Amino acid sequence: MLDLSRFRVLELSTGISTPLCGTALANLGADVIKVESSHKPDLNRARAAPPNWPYADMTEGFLQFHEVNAGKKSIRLNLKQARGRDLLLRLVAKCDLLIQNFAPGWLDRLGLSADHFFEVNPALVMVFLSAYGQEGPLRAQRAYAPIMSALSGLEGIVGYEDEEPVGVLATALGDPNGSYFSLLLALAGLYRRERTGAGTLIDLSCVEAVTTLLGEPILAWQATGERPRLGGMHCADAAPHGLYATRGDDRWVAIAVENTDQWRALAALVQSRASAAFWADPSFEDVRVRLGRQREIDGALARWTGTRDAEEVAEALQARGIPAAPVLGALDLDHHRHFVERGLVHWVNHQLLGTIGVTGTPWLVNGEAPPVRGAGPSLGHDTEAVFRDVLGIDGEEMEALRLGGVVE
Amino acid sequence: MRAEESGNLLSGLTVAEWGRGTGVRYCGKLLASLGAGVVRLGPGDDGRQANSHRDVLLQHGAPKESFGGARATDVLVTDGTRPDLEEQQLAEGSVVVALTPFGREGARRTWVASDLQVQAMGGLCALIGEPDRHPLYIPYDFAQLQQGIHGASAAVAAVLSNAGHTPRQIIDIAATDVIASYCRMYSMLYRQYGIRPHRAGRRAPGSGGRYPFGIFPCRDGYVVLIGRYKDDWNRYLEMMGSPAWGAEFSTIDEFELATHYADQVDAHVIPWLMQHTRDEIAGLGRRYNLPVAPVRTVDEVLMDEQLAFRGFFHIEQGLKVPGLPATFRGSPVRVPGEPQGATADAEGP
Repeated sequence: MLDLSRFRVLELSTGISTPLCGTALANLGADVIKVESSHKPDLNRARAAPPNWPYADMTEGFLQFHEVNAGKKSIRLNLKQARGRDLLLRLVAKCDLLIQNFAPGWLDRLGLSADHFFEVNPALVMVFLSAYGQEGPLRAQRAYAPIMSALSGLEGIVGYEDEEPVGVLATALGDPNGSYFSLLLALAGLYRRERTGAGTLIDLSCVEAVTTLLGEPILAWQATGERPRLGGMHCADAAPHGLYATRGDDRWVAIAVENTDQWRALAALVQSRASAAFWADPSFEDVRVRLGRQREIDGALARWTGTRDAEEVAEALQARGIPAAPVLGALDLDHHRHFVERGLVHWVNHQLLGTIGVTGTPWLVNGEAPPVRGAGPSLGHDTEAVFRDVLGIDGEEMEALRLGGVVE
Repeated sequence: MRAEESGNLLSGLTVAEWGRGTGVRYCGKLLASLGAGVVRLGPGDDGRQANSHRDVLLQHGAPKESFGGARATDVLVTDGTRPDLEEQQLAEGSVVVALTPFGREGARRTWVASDLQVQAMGGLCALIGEPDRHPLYIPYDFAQLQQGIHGASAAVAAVLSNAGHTPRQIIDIAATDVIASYCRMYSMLYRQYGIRPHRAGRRAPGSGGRYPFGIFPCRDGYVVLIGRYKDDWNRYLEMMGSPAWGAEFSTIDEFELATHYADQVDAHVIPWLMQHTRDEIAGLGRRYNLPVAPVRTVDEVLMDEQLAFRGFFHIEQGLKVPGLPATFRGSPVRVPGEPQGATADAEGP
């Protein structure tokens, strides 16, 4: 199992992107301390209650909070007070990595900056994640994940063939994409620190992180002057290539034929007495012919899949070496055999919610998933322990901090 | 500025890369971009039609060498098709990162896939498209690129973890699992609020519980409008000139508005949007402190003033190529395409 337990991470965060990075680090064993305040709560502690919610608020109960904060410690610190900022700097001095994603300018307004952090800890690695980056004309503009994917071009490249874009807005991919870029850069910074002792400030832009995935159409535009056309399910070098309706309500199977052997195997499997002439057409062995007659092929293939179960179709095609898989919905994932075998979901206890399923870091290390060390922390659950163990503050001094509203 | 800024972040890390898929190649590219020495073993293409644009993106200039002649690297990134390489790597006490569609463990470890199957089984396709039509997928090997990011992260994590002990790590990352982890995470919101996590065209299912949350047409294309708080919606109304129709919905609970009245509100909002361009709406969004953005085409992305300010694109073979999505202070990172050993500060002006 991977073991990053020698690293202490301080996290100043809200939402998804940086918190998910922090949880991945916690799953790998790092000691992750989330600094929170009731003056500026994580937006996932301030959600509107769902219908029939039995508790006063959502401070502890939002499931997505636990998805991206599992296994961390939480401390409450009032950074609007000078003493609170001083304590934060003392914590920074004891940490290896600081990750944060509050809007650019937030630290400045508190009278803090990366330079203050470097002053107390020159070996500190910092990842400041934001939508646009810490500098530049758009740095202060509000953004959520779909804003990032719209500006990067991602929303504009997905749609039905030759129609208007539909986009991928519901997937909010700009956030986890930023999370794992953040993880990579944080670990790279720690690697350098181990070798040189030097700290690094990494200023990560989520818009850039999505844009970097679109290099292929960006280069194609420059080379040809053609914007990428919306191709629906089509692919330039595979045919058939699509999602085909199967038996059941809104059930589909994904099929791609990438070479002649796969085409022959598919044709042999699906042809019936009535359709034998169509599937046996030798011209279809040329992918260019299949691409040109894809609608015909799609129709014939859909007639075959439509009377069968998606899993059954996928199994039959895979047995013949043809790429195929069922289309699963988000609610199918928890109990699907593949993901159960792979340990995607970790079941942990929470004092309010009971047993909840938390998505783990999707890697197996020597055959085992990195363990999720618990649900997200209660607000301020670890304040006392962290101040005692990390800063040596307890007893009367701690009580004074509480009375002064420094430690909430 | 900090002292001791010399060197790239991963300078000193050695990586061997074996495999044809985009995930393996992007993983190697990322590690190389951060300063690792990456040796590419074997063929560079993925067996598909030649794609010079993809190749420009995934190349990292490292020479091909035979594995037998080179000492074991710190990390082997592989598509799992050469167990002999893995055994050799593990025997040396090093790290193997295996990037496959469905993983090295589990009943589907032998299944083959393109990016489409990965996105389908990972739960992504089910969220994309119109509700009464077939689902869609994201082109350009999106899932494998995500897998590459995870692979690079895992490689560095394993090396940091090893640091003198617990060698012989084999990290098994299935592209399907990566995508599923994203989709499941977001599904928790829908589950908790009783919203079916199902494709809903240009908006999030049930607008994610708050209106607006979608892509809307306007005079010259599309814009994304997001509102997460009641005050956001009030400011959207103000941005649109405080129209009288706003009162029709003023007594409706925000959650109800998003989940049951979105089409009716759209019928008022869209005519206003159709009178304005994307730039006008984005400008108003800034003025009213609302999360609004134009849906850009790829050619427009190249002209983005923020990306230009930060020096995001670099020139390679005469083309603007996306770089690493970050600037660094304290670590000059080599700009891809420059001669080996040359360094440049990627920080913006």
